[in-house]
Amino acid sequence: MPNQLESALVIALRDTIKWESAVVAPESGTLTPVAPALPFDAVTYQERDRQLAYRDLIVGAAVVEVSIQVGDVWNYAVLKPTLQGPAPFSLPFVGTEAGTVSSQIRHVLNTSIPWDAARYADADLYGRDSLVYEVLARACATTFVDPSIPQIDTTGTVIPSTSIWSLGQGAPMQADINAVLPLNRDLFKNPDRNLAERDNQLAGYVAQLAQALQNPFEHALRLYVQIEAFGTVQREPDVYALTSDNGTNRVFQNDPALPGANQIIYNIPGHTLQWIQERVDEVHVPQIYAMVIPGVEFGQAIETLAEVPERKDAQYWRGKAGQLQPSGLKVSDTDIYLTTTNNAATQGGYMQYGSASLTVPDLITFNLSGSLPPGDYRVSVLGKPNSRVEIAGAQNLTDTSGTLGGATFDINVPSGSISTKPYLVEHGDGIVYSGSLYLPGDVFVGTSAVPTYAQYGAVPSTIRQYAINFVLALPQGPWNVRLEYTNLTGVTNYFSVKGEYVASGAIAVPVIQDIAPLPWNSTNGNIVLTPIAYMDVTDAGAFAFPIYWTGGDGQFHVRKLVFESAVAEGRYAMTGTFAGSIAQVDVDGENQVPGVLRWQYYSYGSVVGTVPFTINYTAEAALPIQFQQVQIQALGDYNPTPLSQGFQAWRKECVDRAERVIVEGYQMAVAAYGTDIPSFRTDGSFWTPDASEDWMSFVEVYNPRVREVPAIATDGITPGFQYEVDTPSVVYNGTTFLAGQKFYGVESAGTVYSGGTVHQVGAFRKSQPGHLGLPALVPLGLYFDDADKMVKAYYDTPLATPTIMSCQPWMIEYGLYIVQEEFWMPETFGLTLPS
Amino acid sequence: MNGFVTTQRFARVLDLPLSLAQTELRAGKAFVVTRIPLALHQRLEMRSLTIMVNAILTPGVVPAFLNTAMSLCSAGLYRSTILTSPLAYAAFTQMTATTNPFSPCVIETPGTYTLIVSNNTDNTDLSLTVTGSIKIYY
Repeated sequence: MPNQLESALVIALRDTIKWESAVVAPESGTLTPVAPALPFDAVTYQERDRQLAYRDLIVGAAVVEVSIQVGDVWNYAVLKPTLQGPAPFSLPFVGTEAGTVSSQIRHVLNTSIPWDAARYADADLYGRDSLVYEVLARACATTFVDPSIPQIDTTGTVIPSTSIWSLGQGAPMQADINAVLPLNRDLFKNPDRNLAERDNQLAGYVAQLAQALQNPFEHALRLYVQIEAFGTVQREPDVYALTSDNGTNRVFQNDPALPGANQIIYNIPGHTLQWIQERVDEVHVPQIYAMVIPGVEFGQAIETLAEVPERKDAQYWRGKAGQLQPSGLKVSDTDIYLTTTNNAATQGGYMQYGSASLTVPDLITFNLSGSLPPGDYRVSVLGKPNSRVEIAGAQNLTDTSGTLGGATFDINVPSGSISTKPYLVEHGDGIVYSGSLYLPGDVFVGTSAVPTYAQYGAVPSTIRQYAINFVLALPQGPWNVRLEYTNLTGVTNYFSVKGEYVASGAIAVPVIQDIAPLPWNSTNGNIVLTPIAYMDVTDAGAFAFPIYWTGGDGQFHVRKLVFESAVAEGRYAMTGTFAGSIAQVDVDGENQVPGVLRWQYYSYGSVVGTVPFTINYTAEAALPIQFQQVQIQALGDYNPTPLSQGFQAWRKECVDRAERVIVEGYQMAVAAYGTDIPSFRTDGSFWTPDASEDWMSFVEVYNPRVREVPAIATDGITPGFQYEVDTPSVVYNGTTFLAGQKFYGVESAGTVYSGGTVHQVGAFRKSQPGHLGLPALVPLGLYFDDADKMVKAYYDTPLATPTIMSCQPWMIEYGLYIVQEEFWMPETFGLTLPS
Repeated sequence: MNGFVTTQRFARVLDLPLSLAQTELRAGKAFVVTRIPLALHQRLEMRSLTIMVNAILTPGVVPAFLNTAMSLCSAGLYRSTILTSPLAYAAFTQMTATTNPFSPCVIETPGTYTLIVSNNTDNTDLSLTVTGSIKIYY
């Protein structure tokens, strides 16, 4: 296609395609027909020429349209004609109207009859208009993903790729067919030559445009370039702006505009392109220009996109932030962490409802999984001093479990099911167990060796569990205690319950009295609290706390034991042992205010498999502390990008830009939802970790790449969201993607993928203890209420605009999100690790 | 903060210099330099925080660390009382330590924030100085 335009480039272009005598042609693409058998009618011939003139205006409008698109994409002011009025830019085409469609015009001769002007000259002019338009449309279609003008002949079977333009003999002149003029050759030829000349002008413009499309690097003031490798995008499309043009090299540069870096250089004499990235260890060999050229690394491709730059999202700015390595101390995440501690990875301490804890000075060990090379590490633990100690019912030592972590007393225990629990005989004449007679009201302790019992007498008795026993330790002093309990099955109107404090070597002290039964008038399964009972803990040693179900029918269920003291502050002197190395923490904590306990280790050796971290809490026994999360991070130094001294704030700048686009998207979502905006607060203004997730979902409505979500379910693909493959490969939408490759969910491909696991791509990830102080995405108005020790939201969704601020400990507890590592910056300035 | 700083806006930007003159801080001690209550729609930006050790007042001892991660002494901005839980901090490892001025600590959530300086050893008295800069937008 380029060859056919060369000759048109020599035409001196006029700046205006004049309207002249054009009249609007039928939208069908047909011209006013000539009936040769009828008497000659000059008006018909005149009308056809005027309609052809109008088709020229359409081609002119198409030229303008494409010029605008070229300008939008390359920021290059392509020559375009001025039109003297509006015209559509889509040229209709009817094959029977066209002549040779070969760019030549068969003008009338002295030997011609008038009809020849219609059937040859007009038809050829019609075909030539179509040819000029189609050449432009094809150039446009092969360049742009979304071409601005439609093609006439998408299959290329009607309009050929004609290579000669000069046959369109033309000359500018004002001439028109008119019945008052002599009927001779020039009556027809002159208007047709004028039309041919207009076509030549348009061909000249099309040639100029095609030149710009063919090699935008010669003309563009802006390039839009994407780096790919093996089917995955390494760098999302970036705008490279022309920064210099010395006649030999045209230099385009993008952010971060480091000296001599992040450039694409087009060498004009050599017609080559060279990409210079921010690193200097790999040099790109200049390549002959093309829209896609080989990159620096094997399999890498540099693609110049013929697209208008789109709105950039937070994930894009994450990629941009990662292109610059700052100078200073680097803290980076390892894949070794615990997001919850109430599991088998924890040994020691006392397991509370929701997390592990140390209620008094003691040892606790977190056995983390993974491997670490030698180096320097930081262990961060999200801790929460808490005078409220909640022990789940299932944490008893009587082997009694139940729904939602509670303890359900066995009832109607059949013979053969006796285990090592205390039992109560009820009703009937009694039972015989292990050779002993137990009458109604008697209590016995089962053994695993004798699981059976026998009824004694004519009236059978029933057996139910009598007690569960807890062991824990609390700081010395006054405490109050309550039970969360319910009736699970059956009917009763009361429970008689007794709880005792049994210090080591001491006699039992009644705490919860069964003299006054607990009335039961709620629905089975509803949790209610016993009245507050008081007790004095005599020392910080372990004590037993048995709960006896002494009376009442139904089925007694203990969900929690809740101990509470009035202590407001505590000191925590703790030695942290990390596979042989030790570090200290000695801090003061405030009741129910979370904080991060941080241990730092230098020159630590490698470890493989299990990575134990032990906390030895040595002082002081005053205020119990919960450990909610544990995280290991590696310490090191950034390998700074060369010549980036003036760009130390680049990552912060990228965070700011990400914030702006997120806020913009959030406001769009608020506007889109109108008056039906969901609320994420509960009971007025209370906030929960679930609310954080729900709010992030709302943020994602117009920012689908804002949140990283690990381990997406195999039927969890959402259209518009981006996913990255974790395991060797997955199949989605009929395509196999390898580890590290990304794909978007699309409506037509459904929600299911197969073959491995993927995670949702996003610029933010859920915060962990090591992320203290990092930029976090927080709803405006969210705060930690010092009076209630709860997180509350001052604003409801419409005004809870995303705001980026430093991550605080309570934000970690409530599952807010922080920026990905590419955005991180050194905590301190100009320091290196101590040796 | 986006947008132009107009005269009206400028009038609602408060610069708070932080300056703790040379102070003797005994081993294991910490104290609050300043306490900043932040209300809704206020924004606090701690641009920089620097701690400098002027002199070690207990010569000849090997420091026994109470908080290893916080080095010999440190200054930080806190939301809780736990010393290892700073939102931004400068921990002394060389003669002077400063927060990263290119990455200011931004706070927009209401609450009371405290600037605490601490001697993180069990046996070493120090003479130190703390300086810094905070901007409050209200």
